[in-house]
Amino acid sequence: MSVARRLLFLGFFLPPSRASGVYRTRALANRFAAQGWEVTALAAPLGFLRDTVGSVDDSLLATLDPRVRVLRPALDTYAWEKDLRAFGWLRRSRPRLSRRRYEWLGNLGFPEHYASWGRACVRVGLRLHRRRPFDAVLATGNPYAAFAAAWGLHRLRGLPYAVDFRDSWTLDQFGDAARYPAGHPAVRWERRIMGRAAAAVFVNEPTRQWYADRYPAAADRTLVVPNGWDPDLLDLGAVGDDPAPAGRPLRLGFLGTLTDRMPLAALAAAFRLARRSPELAGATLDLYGHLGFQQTGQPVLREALGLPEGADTSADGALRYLGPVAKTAVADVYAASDVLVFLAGGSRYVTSGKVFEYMAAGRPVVSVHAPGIAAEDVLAGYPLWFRADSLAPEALAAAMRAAADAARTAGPGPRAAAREWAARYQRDRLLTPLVDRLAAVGDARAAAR
Amino acid sequence: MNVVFLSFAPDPPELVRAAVRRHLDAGARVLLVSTSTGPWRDLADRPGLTIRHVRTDPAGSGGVSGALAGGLRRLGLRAARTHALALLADRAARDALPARIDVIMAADGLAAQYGYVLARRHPRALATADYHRALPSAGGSGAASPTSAGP
Repeated sequence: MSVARRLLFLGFFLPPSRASGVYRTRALANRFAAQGWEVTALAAPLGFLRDTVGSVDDSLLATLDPRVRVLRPALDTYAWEKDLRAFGWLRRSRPRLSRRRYEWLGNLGFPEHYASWGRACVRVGLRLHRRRPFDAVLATGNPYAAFAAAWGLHRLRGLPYAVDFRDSWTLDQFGDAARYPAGHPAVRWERRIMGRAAAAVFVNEPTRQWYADRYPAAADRTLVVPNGWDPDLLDLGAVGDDPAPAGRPLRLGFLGTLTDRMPLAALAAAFRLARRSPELAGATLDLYGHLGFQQTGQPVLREALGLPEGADTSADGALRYLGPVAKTAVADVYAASDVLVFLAGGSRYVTSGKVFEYMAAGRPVVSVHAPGIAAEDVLAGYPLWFRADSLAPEALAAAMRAAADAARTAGPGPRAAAREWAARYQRDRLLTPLVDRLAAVGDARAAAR
Repeated sequence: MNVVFLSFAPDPPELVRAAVRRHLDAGARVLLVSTSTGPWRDLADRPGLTIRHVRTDPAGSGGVSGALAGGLRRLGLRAARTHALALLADRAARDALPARIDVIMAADGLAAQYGYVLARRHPRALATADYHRALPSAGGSGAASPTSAGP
């Protein structure tokens, strides 16, 4: 009888977190468990998720494989504590000293507020490893304290580890440049971690290449695992295959968090221009999701979109802000939209997780982003993709008109072909190279013992 | 909505000023207790805003307390300094404090002690160091889903 490989998985945003990183984190744990690994996951403390940041979706708990054993090491919540009544004597009386204590004793200089959780992971990992050794460690970031913990376990016990960059750490993927100056603690830590990682995983090829250039000695240990979409979380049964009926105006839909990094003004101008043509007469652009990450930024976003303060429909009725959507209702948005607007900010390093779900819905997708971003590599084979060569309103409007035409004319055939293209991006399938890599690394270590 | 906004070290001042302005825009009556006057000049005429200046120099603060605060600082008794600052702030704000306070916002670490004192006196008030957050009547915490980035 073969003995199951044992994985220590460091994934802060496991369910019931509802942070954007939860889907990839959940999928990684599930996939290794399904592959026969004995998975012990170290995740965020429940008190932090529920009380400190209040970012919880309990329904996601049921989607975590029951074979995954979850432990939740402690986190110092100093940086998140805002309730004045909860401030202790030191913090009230010696605020600077209190902060320094947190930064140096709590974080030990690690440039992240999650450092104490990373240290707790090392302690828990060592204890568990002493009882029954692990074969490998997989850390997904952010938080990048998970990477540091994996590195620490490697240094202390020789455990091989892989790091999964859900986001780029020292690369500003929106600014297309290094995020920190040379010598910054984050740069030093990343170099250290990349130097000893058995594998480093990135969400797209441009990001992998950036890291391979930065750390040439580690280049042959880098690989790409795109984000993909999760069939078990997206019931597309209600999304039909028929073209939009001729009797009603079209509905274009965007789903996601609207931010000032997105070309919102270009989107609004292009849509108003496109709306003058017969294909899009009376059409609406429905915006679903949060309007920025903070209320403070909302006026700027509203202004860019032409949405009056306090109103959720523009004066001309073209744009409608319809608010956040529960994960369980996402498929309804896709069903209600004749064309999906893929709106993204950033540079060639940006893929956006939403593009995979968009394709899975089999709807015409019109791109509104700077040409050349990484998402184009994914969309390039999608038969119902429409794009412009620039962000000029005229060019975008032409793409919107073409997408509108497809919404009226594309029948079940092209839509099935579109879904077939999307099927290759089911997240579970995309994880195979990483699972294989860690299995090889773990087995090599076992053979060497 | 009665808001007491404490700013003893407005840094960066533009963020603190924007927060005060936002609360005024939301229709709150704001009592701003501050150790400096400079950052608030362009807000001084706003309806709903009352400013109380905490004088930390001995001459301006009526002598004993201000001298005490300065002396404690020079002696290295910084912990006592924050408590002395709270006493000075209370003296400066006393006549303007509303009977019912709904929100207490401390915009910096130095203001936390006085925020704590006020919070003890007004147990029903929301007492927070998160001065960017929207007021309760404006519809919640002001933050969209916290993302993996953290603060």
